[in-house]
Amino acid sequence: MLFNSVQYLIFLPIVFIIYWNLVKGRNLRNLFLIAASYLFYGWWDWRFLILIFITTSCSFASGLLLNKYDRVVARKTILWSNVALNLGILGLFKYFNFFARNFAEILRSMGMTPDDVTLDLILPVGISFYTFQALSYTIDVYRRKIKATTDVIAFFTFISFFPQLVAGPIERATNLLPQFERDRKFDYEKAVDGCRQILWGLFKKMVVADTCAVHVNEIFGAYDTEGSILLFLGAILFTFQIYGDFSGYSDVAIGTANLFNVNLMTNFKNPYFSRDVAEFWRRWHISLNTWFREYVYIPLGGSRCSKGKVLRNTMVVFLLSGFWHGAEWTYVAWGIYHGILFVPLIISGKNTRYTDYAGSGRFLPSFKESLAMGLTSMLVVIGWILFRADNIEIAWGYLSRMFTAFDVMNPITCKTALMWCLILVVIEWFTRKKTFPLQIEGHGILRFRAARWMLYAGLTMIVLIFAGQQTDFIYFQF
Amino acid sequence: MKKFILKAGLFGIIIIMLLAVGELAVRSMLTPYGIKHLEVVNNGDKISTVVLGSSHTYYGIDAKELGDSVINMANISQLYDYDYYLLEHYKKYMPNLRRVIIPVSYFSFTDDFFEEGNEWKMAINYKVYMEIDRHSDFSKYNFVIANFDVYSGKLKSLLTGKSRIKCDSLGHGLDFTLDIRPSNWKEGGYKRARDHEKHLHDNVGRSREFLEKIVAFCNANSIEPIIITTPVWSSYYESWRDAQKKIMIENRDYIINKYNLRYYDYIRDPRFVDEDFYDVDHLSDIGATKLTALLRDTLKINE
Repeated sequence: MLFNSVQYLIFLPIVFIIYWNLVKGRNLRNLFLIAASYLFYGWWDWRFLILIFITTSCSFASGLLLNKYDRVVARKTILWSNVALNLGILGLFKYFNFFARNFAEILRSMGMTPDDVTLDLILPVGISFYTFQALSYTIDVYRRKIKATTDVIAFFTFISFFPQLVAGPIERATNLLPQFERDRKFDYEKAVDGCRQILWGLFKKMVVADTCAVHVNEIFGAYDTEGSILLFLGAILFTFQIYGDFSGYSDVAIGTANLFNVNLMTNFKNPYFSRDVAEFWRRWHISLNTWFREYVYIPLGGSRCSKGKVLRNTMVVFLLSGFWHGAEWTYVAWGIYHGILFVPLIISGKNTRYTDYAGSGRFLPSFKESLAMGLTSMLVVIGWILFRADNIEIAWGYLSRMFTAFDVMNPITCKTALMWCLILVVIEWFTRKKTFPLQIEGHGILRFRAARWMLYAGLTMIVLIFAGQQTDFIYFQF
Repeated sequence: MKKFILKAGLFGIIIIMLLAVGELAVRSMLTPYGIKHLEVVNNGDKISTVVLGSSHTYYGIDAKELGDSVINMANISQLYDYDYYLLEHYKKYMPNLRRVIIPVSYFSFTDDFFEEGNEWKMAINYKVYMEIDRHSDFSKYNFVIANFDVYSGKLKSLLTGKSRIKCDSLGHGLDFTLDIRPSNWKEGGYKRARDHEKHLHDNVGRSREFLEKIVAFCNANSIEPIIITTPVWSSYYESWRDAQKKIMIENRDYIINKYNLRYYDYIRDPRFVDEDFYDVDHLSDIGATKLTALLRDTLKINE
């Protein structure tokens, strides 16, 4: 079920009340969370439950076996078996048709006439997310970073925990699993913070992202007849759509977890205020990027090798990251594009220069920072065109027309969407040091509860009244 | 925990109250349904002619141009059931009603009735704005918020000051002007025909029953029912399935012949050209003027 649905509006309070009031004890509470999570996930399709059960069981068993065996050969066998199984399932459901199609194309280009072999498989929602989460556990146990858990209930809860099951954040066992292995008490302040973060997430998703989505679909759908200005606007709107959609989902996930006194990692930190692409990737989809850094980049040598190898490691990570997003060449192209943008930063050694916030200590960014943010944003926007396009031909066609099909300014029909984007930018700029803007400390008029409640009620009504046409969360398809 | 639940509950109550205020606000907004209701209630004694039907007549007949005492009571997606309920409900306000114009369209005998299909939310407009009391005051039909998309759309227009009303004081729809007509409108015939084929046989009997009820009501009140078919574009007409076309023709002819009614067929009238259409089955404002003029000359309402 979607976070922005009536079903979730009914589901969440029921689960919350039962969890804290009717179910006592750590194991029973975890069991209840598993049941609720399986209900949440099975709402899409009950058959998805079979796969997550297999992934969870195999990862748990792998952990126990890794604990049991000390010999390197045995441990490596167990690890790689589990990795192969998990990636095999992911590959079958997500990539089989892609490889089959492209293999057939290669054979055709060589003059052969192969049969088209494809599987009619539904892509299970969230499979990329929970697979990577399960893999991180097995790898951490192999590396002896954590001890394998014997608490099967806590482990099943860790993998299936419904707020982050279908679109992340991709949690590490070191952070999330211990939280299910100990008792939890209700935390009032955290629960209130959770509600506020849910509200903010819904605003970003339902108002900003869904309002942009209508125009994005129209513009991308008719890109071959539109002029460059509208195409540029379409790209900008998609930039905000994907941010509002994905970061909004993460906010709702984190906020929901707070209701159960569970901490999930931050997944976005105002990425569009980044001053270079390296900073952007430290602020966008943080859980996935840190996963690739920990389990791919660093094992390949990370930054502790020659510049050539650092570049290689970086390109491998971006290639895999692009591929993780989907079985289309556009995602691969998007990943490679960002990898290429990284190259000059690595060569010049400037990929870690920005560690604080833009405009730190100032009301507005400096001129230099504004230029840097503007340039970075433009580069990111171009990347999003590759990401959004259905295929490479459309992406190329869109980009070509955007830079060549100059026309007289069309009447802008997406004023409302642009207005919401601007409101989001302004609010997030002036609250960029907070985890999310609604963490109001109570200065000025907001120190009065009535004023804060008016703000929350007003925002709730804005979400309900100004929500765009409901669309699926973009990252569900991954 | 208790403190959290109490505060969450209190916040929920505040939101419900705000939504209730919104409900009151949208109920007070003028809508085409409300405009027609007020016109009949306030000036019903002057009305001699009522136009019923769906969007084909809502957009296709300009009551002001048809005669001095005409009101257009057609509404989008309205079928014979609600045509009958409207006539029955508002007759008491129209003692001088002499004629009723009823369209027959490709979907008239086969479409979903509001309350049985996905269009049930349309019935809210009749309960809230026209006092058609077919449902309890506590049912979903008595709350605009039950159709949340429309509810939020109306609140949005209230807050932004953008008017959603696009009909004149006598109920004629004003949306369909050439300046906003889609450029590829002629290509929509096939899809529109498929959209109008929901139930081939299920509702035929009941639809005809309601049409006969309208005719019987008219006969009992010395009102003349007049059947018309409004113009459609060739791509739509040529996409009609023979089976449904046969249902439309057979049932139309049955009623006309049984009750000896006047019938005016403008479906393929060559006088209606490109600029008279907004889309494949609706007239533009220019086409509405033309159709209304033809009807005026034929029916001679003011004489």
